[in-house]
Amino acid sequence: MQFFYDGQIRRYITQVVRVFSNFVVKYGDGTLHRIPVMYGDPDRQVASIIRQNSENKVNSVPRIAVYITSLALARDRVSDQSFVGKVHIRERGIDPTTGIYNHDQGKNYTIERLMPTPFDLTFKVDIWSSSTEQKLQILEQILVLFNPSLELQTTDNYIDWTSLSVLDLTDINWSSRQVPVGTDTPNEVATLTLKTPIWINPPVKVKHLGVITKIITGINGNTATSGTYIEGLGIDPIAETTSMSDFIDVVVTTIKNYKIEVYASTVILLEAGATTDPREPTIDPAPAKVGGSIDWVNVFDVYPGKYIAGSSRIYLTQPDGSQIVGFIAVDPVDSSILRVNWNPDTLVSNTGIDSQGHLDNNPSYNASSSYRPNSTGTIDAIINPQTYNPLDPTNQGTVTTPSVGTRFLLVEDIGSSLNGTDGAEAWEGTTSGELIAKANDIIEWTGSQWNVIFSASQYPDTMVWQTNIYTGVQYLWNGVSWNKSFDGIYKIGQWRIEL
Amino acid sequence: MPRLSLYKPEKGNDYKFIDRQASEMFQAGGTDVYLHKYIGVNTPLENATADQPHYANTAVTNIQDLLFLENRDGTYDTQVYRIRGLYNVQNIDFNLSQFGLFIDNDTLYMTVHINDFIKYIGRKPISGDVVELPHLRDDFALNDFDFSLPRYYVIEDVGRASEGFSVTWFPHLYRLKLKRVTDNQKFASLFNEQAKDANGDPVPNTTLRDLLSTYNQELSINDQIVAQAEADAPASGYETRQFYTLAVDPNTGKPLLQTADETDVLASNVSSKLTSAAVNAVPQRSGYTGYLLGDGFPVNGYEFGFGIQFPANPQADDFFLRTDFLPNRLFKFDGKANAWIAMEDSVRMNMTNNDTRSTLKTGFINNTNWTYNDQIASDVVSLHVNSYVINTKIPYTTAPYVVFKSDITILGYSLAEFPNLFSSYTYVSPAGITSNCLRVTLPVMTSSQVADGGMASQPYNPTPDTIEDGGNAGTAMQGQILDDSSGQQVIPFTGTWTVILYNTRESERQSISKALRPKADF
Repeated sequence: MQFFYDGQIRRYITQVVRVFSNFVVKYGDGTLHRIPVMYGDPDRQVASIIRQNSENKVNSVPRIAVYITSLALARDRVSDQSFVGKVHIRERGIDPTTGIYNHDQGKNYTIERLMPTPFDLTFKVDIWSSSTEQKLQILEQILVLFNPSLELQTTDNYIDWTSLSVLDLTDINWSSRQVPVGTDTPNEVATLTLKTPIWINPPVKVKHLGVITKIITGINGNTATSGTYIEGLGIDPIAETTSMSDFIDVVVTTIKNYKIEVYASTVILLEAGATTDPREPTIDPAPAKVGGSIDWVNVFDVYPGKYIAGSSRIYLTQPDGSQIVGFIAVDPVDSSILRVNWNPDTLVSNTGIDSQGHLDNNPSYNASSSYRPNSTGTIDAIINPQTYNPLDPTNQGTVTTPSVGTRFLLVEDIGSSLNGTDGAEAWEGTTSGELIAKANDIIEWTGSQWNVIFSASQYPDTMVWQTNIYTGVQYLWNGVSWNKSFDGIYKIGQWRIEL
Repeated sequence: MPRLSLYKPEKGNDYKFIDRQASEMFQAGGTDVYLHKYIGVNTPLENATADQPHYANTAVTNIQDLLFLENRDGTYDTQVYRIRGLYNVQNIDFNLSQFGLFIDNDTLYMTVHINDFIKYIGRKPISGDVVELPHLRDDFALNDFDFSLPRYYVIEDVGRASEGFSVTWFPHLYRLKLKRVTDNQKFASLFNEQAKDANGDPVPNTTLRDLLSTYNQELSINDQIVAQAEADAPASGYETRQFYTLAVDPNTGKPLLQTADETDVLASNVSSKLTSAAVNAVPQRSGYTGYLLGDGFPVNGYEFGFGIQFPANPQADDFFLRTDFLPNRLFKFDGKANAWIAMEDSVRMNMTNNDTRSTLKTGFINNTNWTYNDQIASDVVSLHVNSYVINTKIPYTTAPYVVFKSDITILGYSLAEFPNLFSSYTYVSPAGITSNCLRVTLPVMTSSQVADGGMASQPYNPTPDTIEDGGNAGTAMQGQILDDSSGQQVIPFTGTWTVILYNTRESERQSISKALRPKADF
């Protein structure tokens, strides 16, 4: 068992001492004298130090001593011992420069508090006075506070659900003396007996804010219960299992029910029915939200955690169930735009294409025999073959030969069988061969000629991922066109953020 | 020849011879005893009652409290008398009690020579006389002083010692029952005296209480415990100032943002908290609920003003704490409604018993207000904030008290306390008639005239006309407003003030047994 101690009973004693502190008595000359209040069970050494280790030191009167006489479990206040009370707290931010609170939202937490154990704590308060009149002065000041109880608070911490209690005055012993006094005159001590209901708490759990950000509601039909009928006993409730079938629908609800539009490294928020212009993902320009933009602060305010630029994350759920992760930062100019640095390790794996045009799911696929055996899922650039000259990419009149294995994704057709042997010279091989390719095809330089290694028209039902090394952007062939692999609109439940 | 008898009705030579021998025995074999002579008790005339009378003379025969039959405030001769005494030295044991260490067998029985005592002291020893035994001074106590600690006893009982009867049957010795003194009310005059060292020289700036009593250390310990208690729970209720409240749309529950870019922000309704960057709107109220959370501070730490009058040109979402409300009340300016809306009351209160704590109950105890009566004259004047020379149209006169009132704000001054309060000036009416009228110059208040918030051992000298400057006091507002720098009393805000001269005043706080008792003959 790990050690924990919070000084909880100690705080009750401290507060009781406080309750009885600062009372005064008035002497005959009109001066007021404060009454010291101390704990009534001192250590002998400390008591000796207080009187300076001298028998000549004189005790002062009046005095008030507070001490505990009993601590008993309060069975009448025992509650569900397994109950965990939660409180969700959002702190204010702290200016890192000045170190003082600012007006912004800071960290946020969920505090879990286990049901404390109730006790009844009994104090005795001994009041030593030097005369009857002095005792009356003290008691009149104190007793007026109990009507019938006096509020007691051990902390002002908002999450401490047991800090508030009361002091009940249960008994008053008027005097420790007896009448008649007799030959010896003992000290005059009046005693108040106080009872206070207290609780002793285990430590709490301080967690990140644990509010629910997504609710998935599945609707199924035809529930079936397994047959666990036992003759004479009925259905065994433990062994009974219920299975659901006939999946009908699923509804996902998030905090704000926003969807998002992902475009390259930017993300914008859309309401449930909102659209963008243009409606489909494009390479350029970026789609813009139709209607007023939505500030990302709307989301950050209500999600657990504290937004930290460059460290908070966004997750995009892909059709295959994988998730693409990016680090986010709100655009400093337009806070409705989220700038994302996508983590390339989380992207969907590229589809390998060997130099013979086999995809990596083809048994004949052989990457090692390819002209770029170590990077068969990438292309070097996306080009328009009708304007791009592979022999002079920079248009400076300097003829250069492409590296063996260079791959390009074409956005336009090039070459035609109608041209015979007189096609575009820039795409001709060194020995022979005209390049005839269509838009969306991928071509590769073998060292002597360009070959089409991916003919888009042959894959109308296959998804193929390729990363453009030139931009670092991954593209997806969806059977119709190449798109950025994860751009587009993500519906409710298909994205989430972690602050 | 008369029959032999050592007893004689008169104290003859035999008695005298034996008495001298006894005296010499004390001189030769006794120890010095310093006696602090009790000289009596007397209740001051102003505090005297039938059962606690004031006596014409302070005498040892006076009884201070005829009900409880106790003398509480003994006074002692400042002259210390030296006599000789004998007693049996005994071992001591410390008894650890709830009030600290006590000496268990702390009763001494000392014998003193009767005639010597009468000769030097002038009377018989009585219960209440205090004796000091110089041979028991403690030179090595764990104190911070360079002085030894004396040992004090108080005489509890006095009787004739059985061993002091001679063959003449006359007594020669008193037997004194001595108990250790405590630092209590009865010996206050003794403990207030300057301490003396073993040579009888005064110890600078040190009273006997400082030197000998545990009082100061006990107070210091008590203060530390209270300080910890205040650290644990500075005020009643709960602290939520460190928590953030998110402004949400009351209809949709979505966060409310406001930016200067919004197109529907009316210039006349622009929040003072609005910036060019997107910011959260100001919440309608705190997002935290519970017992005693109101502290008078706006949510999320927004700046706020405070005073006894709303500012002139507020902007939307301005916060203002009205300190003339009890408890202080926080308002927020609603730009749409063009009105100040109450947000919360400052109900969190320091739970330590002090002179300014003002809950419902302690407000009846910590009350230094006055009730003014017997109005002499009055006038209504328009005054500007910070003015302190006020010309009235009251024909020149003086009065024991002058009061300035505006709404619930009351400033009261006493002529006895501030003799330069009143003067005259020549007033010329619109009709050209001149008259000699009253001018009131608000006083400069010294720090000593500010109510003392402390407690310990201060003379009870309430100054109900004063309130503490600053802080969150000033709720009752019956008192003087201190100018921070000079102590010059000023009018706290511009407005219409009623100036009233009064003849009498009485404390608002009075004992229930004494309030409104008959003040005249029937």
